Amino acid sequence: MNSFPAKFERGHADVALASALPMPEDEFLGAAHQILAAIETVIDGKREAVEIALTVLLAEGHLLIEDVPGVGKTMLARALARSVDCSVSRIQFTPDLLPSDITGVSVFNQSDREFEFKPGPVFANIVIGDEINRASPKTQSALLESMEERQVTVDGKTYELARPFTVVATQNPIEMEGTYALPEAQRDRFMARISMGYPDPAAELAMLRTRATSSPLDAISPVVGNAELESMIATTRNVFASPVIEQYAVSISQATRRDPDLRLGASPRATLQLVRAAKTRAALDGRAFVLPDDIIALAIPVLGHRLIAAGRAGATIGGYSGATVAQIITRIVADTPVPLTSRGVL
Amino acid sequence: MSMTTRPASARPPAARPATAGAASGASPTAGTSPSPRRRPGDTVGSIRVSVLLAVALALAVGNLHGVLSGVFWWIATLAPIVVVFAVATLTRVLLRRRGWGTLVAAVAAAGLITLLFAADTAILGVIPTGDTWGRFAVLAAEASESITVQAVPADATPGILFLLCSATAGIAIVLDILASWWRVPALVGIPLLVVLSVPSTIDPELADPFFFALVAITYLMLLRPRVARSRPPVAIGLGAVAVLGALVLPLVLPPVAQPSGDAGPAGGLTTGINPMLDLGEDLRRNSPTQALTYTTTSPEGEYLRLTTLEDFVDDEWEPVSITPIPDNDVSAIGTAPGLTTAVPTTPVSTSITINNSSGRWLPVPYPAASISGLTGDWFWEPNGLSVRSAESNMRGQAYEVTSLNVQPTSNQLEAAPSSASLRLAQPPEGLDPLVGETARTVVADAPTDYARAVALQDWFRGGEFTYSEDAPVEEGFDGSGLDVLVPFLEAKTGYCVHYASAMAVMARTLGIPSRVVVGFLPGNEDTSSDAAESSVSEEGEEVELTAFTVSSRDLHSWPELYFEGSGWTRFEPTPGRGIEPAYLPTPVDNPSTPDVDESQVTPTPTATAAPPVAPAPTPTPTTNALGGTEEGTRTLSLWALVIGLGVVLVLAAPGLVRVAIRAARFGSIRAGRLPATAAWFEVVDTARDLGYAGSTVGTPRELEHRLRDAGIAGPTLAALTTLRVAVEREVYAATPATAPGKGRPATPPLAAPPRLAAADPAETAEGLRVVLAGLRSHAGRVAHLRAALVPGTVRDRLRGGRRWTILPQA
Repeated sequence: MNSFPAKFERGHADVALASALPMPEDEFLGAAHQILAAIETVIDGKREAVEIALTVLLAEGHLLIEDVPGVGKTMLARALARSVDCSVSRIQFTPDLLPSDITGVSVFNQSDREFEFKPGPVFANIVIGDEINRASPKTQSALLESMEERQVTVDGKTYELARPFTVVATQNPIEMEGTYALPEAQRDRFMARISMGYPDPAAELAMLRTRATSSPLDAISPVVGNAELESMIATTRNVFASPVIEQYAVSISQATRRDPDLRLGASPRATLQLVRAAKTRAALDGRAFVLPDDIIALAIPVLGHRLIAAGRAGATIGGYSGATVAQIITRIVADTPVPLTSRGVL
Repeated sequence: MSMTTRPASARPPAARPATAGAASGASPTAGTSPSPRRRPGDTVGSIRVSVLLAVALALAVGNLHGVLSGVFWWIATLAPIVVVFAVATLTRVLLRRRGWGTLVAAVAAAGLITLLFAADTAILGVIPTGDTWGRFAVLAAEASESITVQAVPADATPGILFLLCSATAGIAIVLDILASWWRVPALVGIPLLVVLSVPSTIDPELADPFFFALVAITYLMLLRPRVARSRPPVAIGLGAVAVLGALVLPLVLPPVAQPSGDAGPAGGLTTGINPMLDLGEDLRRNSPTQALTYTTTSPEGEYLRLTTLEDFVDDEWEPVSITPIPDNDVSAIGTAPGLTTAVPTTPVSTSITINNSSGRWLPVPYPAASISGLTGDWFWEPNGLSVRSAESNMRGQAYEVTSLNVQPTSNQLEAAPSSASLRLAQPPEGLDPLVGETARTVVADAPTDYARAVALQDWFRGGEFTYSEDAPVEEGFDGSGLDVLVPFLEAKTGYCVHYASAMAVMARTLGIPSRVVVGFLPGNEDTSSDAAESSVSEEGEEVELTAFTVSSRDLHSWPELYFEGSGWTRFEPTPGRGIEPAYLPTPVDNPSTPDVDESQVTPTPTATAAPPVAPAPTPTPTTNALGGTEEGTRTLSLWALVIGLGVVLVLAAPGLVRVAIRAARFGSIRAGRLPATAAWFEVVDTARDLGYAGSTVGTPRELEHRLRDAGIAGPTLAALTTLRVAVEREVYAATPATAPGKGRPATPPLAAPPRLAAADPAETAEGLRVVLAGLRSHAGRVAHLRAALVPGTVRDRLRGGRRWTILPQA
C-alpha cells in the first residue's frame, strides 16, 4: 500500500492518459468480467453495488459507499483495488487525522539541506478513504481539491496526482456516533453513492464458511494492469451519447431543480457525471451507444447523494434522507418523457 | 457480461404504472400526480370544459331544426352561447374566482340580449332601461302568439328569436354554474336533455336522434376524466347507454302538447295571424292531411272563410282586426254589408268539425248568421263577418253555422251602380302603374263593373295563366305583397294568393271595391261516410245533408268584389282551382238557375259539372319526411339510413383513425423512413390499446419487460426483442440525419457514431406483424374488440397528449 508511483510531476499523467488507446469490445468485456468475478469472490450477492463500483472506476469518478458498519463497505473498496494492478493507498479517517496526513508533507532533508516533499497516501491510483465522515471537516476538505482537480498543493507547490485516480470512500450513516456530515460540496464530488445492504441469508451463510479459514482478499490477484485500466477508461469514453440522450439527462437535472419537493437540485457536474456514468454502463453492457435505460438506472446512484429534500424530508440533512430523495428521483424520472421519437414518424 | 439487471432502487417496477394510472385520468396538462403545480392545468381544463359545454348546447339547440325553419335562428343562438362561455372562462382565468365567472357572464348575456333586441331603448345599447323591459314584454307576447298560431317548422319571428336567445343564454348560464362553478359536470345532462326534448314535446317525430347522439358524445367527453378514472368498461357502458338512449328516447318520449279530440296524424295545418302570408308554404309543405269535415244542406258544399284582408300594411294584405268586445259574440252575427233583400237567398245549415287544423280564425261560410256549439270566446267583425278568438283555438271545435246562400242574378250585378267612391275601391299607394294598365287592357270595352270583373276573371282562367305553387318561389316572387304583382303578371304563373291579390288590386284600379279572403275550398264530397247522404229531420222537414271533407290542400284564397245591392261577391280567378260562382258565367239574363251546369259555358279548362270541386293540380311530391306517401316512406327510410350510417361512422371513427395510423406506419416502414421507430410506435400504441401499458410508456426496454411480465413469450417476444434492438439503434445510436450547418461546427463525438446497419424494412414489417398478432391473441377477444372500437391512443391524440418528446430539430 505504500508503493507510491514515482511519476507525480505535473503533466506526466496527462501524457500517459492520452496515449491510452481504446480496446476492442470483446477484450474490454473480458477484462470487465474478470474484475467483476474477482470482486465477487469476496462480495457475494451484491451484483448491483459491484457493477456500479466498477462503473465509477471506469468512468474516472469517485465512489461513496454508505452503510452501517460491518456490511462489507471496506471489503468492496479493497477488493476493487486489489483486482486492478495499480497503486492503492488506504486512509483510515479518524477525528484526529490531519490534512497533511492525506496530502503529504515537506520535510527538511539534512543531507540536501532543502525541503523535500513526502507524498501522502492520496498519491495513488485508488485511494480508499475509510469512514470518511469520522474526520473533521478540515481534513475532509483536504480531499476536496485532490478529488476534483486531481492535484495537491502543499506549501504553495502543486503536485499532479496519478492517473487514473479514484477515491473510494466509505462512511457510516449520520446517525452513528462520532460522525461529521459531509458538506454538499464534497458530496457533489462523488460520482455515485451506493449502499451495500445486508446480505441475504444464503450469502451470509456462505460468508461464514469461506471466512473461517483465511481472508478472501488474499485470494484476489490483480486481473488487469494499470495500462489496461487506462485503455478500458478510454474505451468507455468512446461510447456514443446521442443528442437525444444528452437532452434527456439535462431534462432530468432541470426537473430536479424545479421540483418543489427538493431544496437543492442537481448541479451541472451531476449532469456531466450522469452521462459519463451512463456511457460506462453502456460499454459494460456491450453497447457502443447510451440508452435512456442507462440514464434511468444510474439516476439514483448518481443524483441521490447530491439532492436535498425540502420540508420535512429535508430535516435529515447530510445525504441521509436517501429513501425520500430516491422516491423523488423515481417520480421525476417517471415524469420526464423518454425521448423516443423523431421527425416524420406518426 | 451484462448490466441489464437494473438496480431495484433505480426504478421500482410499480412506479410507472402507478403514475400512468393517475395520468390517464387527469386532464392533459393537469400533471400526473397531485402536486401543488396545478394552475396551468386548471386553466386549460376550464377552457376545455367551456368549449365542450358550448358545443353541447349549440348542438342541443340545433335539435330544434325540425321546429324552426331556416338556420338563422341557430346562428343567432350561437351569440349568447359564445358570449356566456367566453366571458365566464376569461373571467375565471383572470380573476381566479369561479363564481365571478358566472356572474360576469350573466351580466354580459343580459347586455347582449338587450343589444340584439332592444338596443334603441337601452343606454349605450346594452344597459337596459324601463323601455327595454316593455320591449321584451312585447317580444315575449309576440313569441307566444307566434308559437300558438304557427305550424312547424315555424318561422323564427323576432319574438321567437328573442325567446330562443334568452332561453339559450339562461341555459348556458345554468350549464356554467353546474359545470364550472359547482363542479358537478354530470348534472349538465339534465338541462341539455330538457333542451333536446323540446321538439319531442311538440311532435315526437321532430326530434333528431343524430343531434341526441352528438350531444351525448359531447357530454361523455365532458365526463371523460371522471369516467376514465374509474374503469374503461364503465366508460364503454356509459357510452353505449348514452348512444342507445339518444336513439330510443326521442321515439318513446310522450308528446305533451298534443291536443285532445284529434284524429289524424300529428302536425296538420296551422293558420297564422295572417293566414295569407304562409298560405303558399302551407300548400307546398304539408302532405294532404284532413283539416276538417262538415255536413251541409248546400249540395255543392260551402266555401269556408277564415279571414278577410282589406287593407295594405307595409305593402302586404292585412287581415281585418277584431275587437274582442263582449256584445259581438257569435250567437248573432250581423248582416252582410251591402246585401239587400232583393237578392234571393236560401238559408244553409252547416255542421263543421275541425280535425287537424289549428289557428284563431274560425272557418265559416259567408255570410254567417249565427254560430253555436263553440267553446271559448269567439268574436266577429262587421265587414267581413270573419270570426276570431283571442285565446281559443279552432282545433277540435265542432259547431253549427247558419248562413245564407246568396244568389244574385247577373242582371242584378250588372245593374249595380258604381261604388268607385268607397274606400276599398282605391288602389293601394305605391302600386306599379303597369297593374292598372294591364287591367284596363284586359277589360277593354266591358261596359259595367260586373262585366269588367268577369273579364278579369276570364283573363286569369282563360288558359294564358297556369297554376303553380313552386314557380313563384323559384322565380322569386312568392308572397302576397304588392311587389310581387308585376312579376306575377309577367310570369303568368302562380297560385291562389297571386290570383286573388292580383284580381283584387286590378279591380280597385278599375274602381271596383275589392278584398281578399283566405279560407278553404268546399272540399270533396264524402260518399263513403255514413254521415253522407243521410236524411235528418230538422223542424219537421226532410233536409238532404251532404258530407264533405276538407284537406289541408284545400286552403285557398280568393277575391271578393263589392256590388251595390248584392254586397261582397266571390270570384274565382285561380285557374284549375275552386268553383266559379254560379252567377258569373252568363252575360245574358239567366235568372234563378244557380246550377253548376252553367259552368259548362265558362271558358275554364275544368268545365266539368259533376264534381263540385275541380280537381286540384297534382300536388308536387311531398318532401315531408313524416308523410305517409310512398315518397315519404322512401324519404324516411333514406333518412334512417343516413342517420344510421352517420351514427355508425361516428362510433367507428376512432377505430378508423387507428387503422389509418397503422397503415401510415407500415407505409413508413416500407419506405424505409425510420422503419424501426415507426414499428416501435405501432407496438407501443397497440400495447396501450390492448391494455398492456398505461398512458405513459417508458423506454423500449421497459415496455419489453412489461410485456414479458404480462406473459408475452415465444416468437412474439423474440420478434419484440428484435424490434426493440432495432429501434434502440435507430433512435439512440445515430446522430440526427441532418448535420447542424449553421453556427459553430458541432464538436464531433469522441468516436464516430457506431456504424450499425439500418433496420431492414421487410424484416421490420414482418416482425411487427408477428408482434401485433401475438399481442392481440394474448390479450383476448374482448380487449381486441375494445382496442379496435375505442382505441385509447386515438383519444390521447385528440387530447394532444404525447407520450414522448419530439427530438429537437437540428
